[in-house]
Amino acid sequence: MDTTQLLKGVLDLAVLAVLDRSDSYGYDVVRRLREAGLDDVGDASVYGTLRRLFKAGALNSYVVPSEEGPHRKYYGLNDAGRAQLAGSAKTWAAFAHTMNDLLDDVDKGTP
Amino acid sequence: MSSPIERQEEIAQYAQDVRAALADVPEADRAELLEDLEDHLAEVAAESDEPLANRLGTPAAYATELRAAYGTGTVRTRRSVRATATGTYQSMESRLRAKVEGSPAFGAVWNFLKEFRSLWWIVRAWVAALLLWRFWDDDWHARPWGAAQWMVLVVFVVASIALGQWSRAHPDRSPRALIIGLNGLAVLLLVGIQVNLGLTHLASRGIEKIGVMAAPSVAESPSAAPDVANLYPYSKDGKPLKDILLYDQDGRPLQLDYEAHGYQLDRCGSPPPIANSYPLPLRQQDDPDMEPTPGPSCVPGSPMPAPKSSDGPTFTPTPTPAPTSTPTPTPTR
Repeated sequence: MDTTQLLKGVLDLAVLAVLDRSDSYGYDVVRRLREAGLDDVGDASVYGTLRRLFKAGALNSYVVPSEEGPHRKYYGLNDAGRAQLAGSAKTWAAFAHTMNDLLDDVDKGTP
Repeated sequence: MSSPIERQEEIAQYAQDVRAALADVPEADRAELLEDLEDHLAEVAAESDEPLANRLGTPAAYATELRAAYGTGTVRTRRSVRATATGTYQSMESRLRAKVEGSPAFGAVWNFLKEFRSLWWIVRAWVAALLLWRFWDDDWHARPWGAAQWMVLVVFVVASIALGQWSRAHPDRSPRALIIGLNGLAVLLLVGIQVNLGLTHLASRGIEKIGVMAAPSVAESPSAAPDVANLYPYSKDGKPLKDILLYDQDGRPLQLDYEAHGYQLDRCGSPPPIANSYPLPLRQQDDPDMEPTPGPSCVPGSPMPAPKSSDGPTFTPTPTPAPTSTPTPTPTR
């Protein structure tokens, strides 16, 4: 089982979690997700997710002008986004707990 | 090291291709989706000198991934391109199968046959065993004829059932093409063997029949005319003849199967009858239920009806030409 299947359900949650820590622009969100360990995530998937979350009203966006480089569009969580993050995080915790129970006797190796 | 201008051109080209791939998206969504595209591409381009496609895949792939993440939230990863190709093939295959199995007649038949899947596992094991026995003994055997052959059959049946159950539990890992090919081969062999055995059976039965038909005439008499019980020779003038000895073309005495017609030789006449002296003195066979009388029985039985002179040959003897004048020696003077 590779992480593609797993990511399908939780990329929204991962993106929200990253933005919760600090506002960020697209490219940076991808970088931070990969640094956190999700090295398989694709750029276009993150960008598409950002645009969708924005369209759904979970994110604010603003442009930060820059003298040396291009202007960057930043994204940040709004109230709705934070609520969605909290709800999804609870769902995730319960699910992970259930799976871990199921896999209690299975040797998972050291992460 | 590519110049900034070349890099800009690459970005512009890539972006254009992505937009083209998303031309079918409704305008509002499309604008939304592509708003930051150039910015993102610029960031990636700034990261390293690699061509964009190395990191992002082809514009078409990028567009598909973007569309998927935006529309339904499904995610594709960098490594999944090859998996997608396989997935496309598999989905094509399953769509085709769905179409075929969806057609009512075929679907009904196929669903019915699927009920016999377990039976098929056993049958194909038997076919494989048949082949093995053929090479073992150089002859076709429908069933095992010894302990070793039984062992072979049992092993094959177990293996076939195990294979069937395993491939049902792991549809993605089983080598489908190979198994389908082997199954098809087994079906062909089965049909072929049945036809072969059927023909052989027919042939041997046919030979039996011919043998049965030929047997009586061969065994009983060298030259029997089966339908005839007695012969009544007549002369050219229509006179019934007696005590005529008849022989066949090989010089053997002509014998008739009078017993088959319910007659027996009448032995009560003074001289014992000669077997090929025609007409034979025949009479009706004695009633077998009658008690055998002690001593030689010579109860006058009813003789075989002899044709009356007038019942003789119905054909009119062809009038023979008047004897040609035989040359008589003219008395010499």
